[in-house]
Amino acid sequence: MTRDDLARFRAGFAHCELVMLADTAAGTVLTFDSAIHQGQERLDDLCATACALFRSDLPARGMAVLSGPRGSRLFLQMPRDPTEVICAVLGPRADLPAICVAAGRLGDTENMT
Amino acid sequence: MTEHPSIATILSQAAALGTDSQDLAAATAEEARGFVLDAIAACIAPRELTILDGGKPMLRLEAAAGQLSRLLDLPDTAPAEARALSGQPLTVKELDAVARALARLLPGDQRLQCRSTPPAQPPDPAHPGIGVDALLRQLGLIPPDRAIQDRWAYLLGAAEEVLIAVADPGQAPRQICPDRLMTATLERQLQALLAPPAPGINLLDKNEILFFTLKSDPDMAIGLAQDGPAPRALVIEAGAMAEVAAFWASLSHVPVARAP
Repeated sequence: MTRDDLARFRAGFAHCELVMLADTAAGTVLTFDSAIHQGQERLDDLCATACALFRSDLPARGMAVLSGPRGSRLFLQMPRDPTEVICAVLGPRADLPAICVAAGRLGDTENMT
Repeated sequence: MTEHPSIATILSQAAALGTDSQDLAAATAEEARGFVLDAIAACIAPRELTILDGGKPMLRLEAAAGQLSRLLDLPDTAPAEARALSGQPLTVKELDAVARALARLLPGDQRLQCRSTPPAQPPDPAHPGIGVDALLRQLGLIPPDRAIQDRWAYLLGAAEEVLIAVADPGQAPRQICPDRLMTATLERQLQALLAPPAPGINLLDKNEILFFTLKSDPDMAIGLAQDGPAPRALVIEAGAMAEVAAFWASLSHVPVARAP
């Protein structure tokens, strides 16, 4: 998955501030696209959250969403390699159901290539 | 009491709104009016806001420090009294006329968009404008944080149809949906989530819920929230997780109609 893939995905939705692909096995950010410049600390924070969600005692697999008044952070494990996680930062009025479906398709497409 | 929102409130609203132009399919009048008032409240520096309805410009206004400072362009469908105010600095004396115009222009069932640009000229500091709280009151609306006393109970009520179980700290999980039996595995998982050290609780900010699909049953999802120092949880159908999470995120941004 390239940065262009993430940029195309992000452009398809209002209130989608950032999309990132994280490698939770290595704890690193593989690529990202964002509306404004994001500091490395912010990306690392998001990556650390993905690791805490899917590589801890939590009985989570597949998808997780941290949702609150300032918006949502979506985390989706790639079907091909669950250690790779698509992360998205969304505003409170984002169309979360549509974004979740599209993120799932993005993961499936990656699975076929 | 001042009409000016605190800087913390303004910053929090601005952060919530992000950086893109905003848009919303506003099904109800409350959503449509809340959308425009939220955009005004989020203006720290002076901004010119253009509200589009179905892609066409409908209303242009100026806002600063969370106040509506001027109406700039209104359509012919707006009340004549509001059109007469176009371009003039607003004060609370014009509250009634402005609220009537917003009520007329924002009936709901609209595809709204808000574009924000720097104003052509700085607003007159002698006329601070009309506060969002005053506009909400005049429109018969209550800010959601004031209207909803118990957000968790409100969520449980709204998600009733997809709710499978609820677990409160120190209590056994309660099954809500009799058709979906709570397995022993799920019960154990809930108890492990709620018992110290409560994995997941450190990930939560104030008023956040962590939703995730379950490793043991992909058709189910858990929502984990903080209740004071302890966590509490709900179990829902996984297919409804995104919708419930979106509802929770929008809860602070849609005002509630005051009871007549």
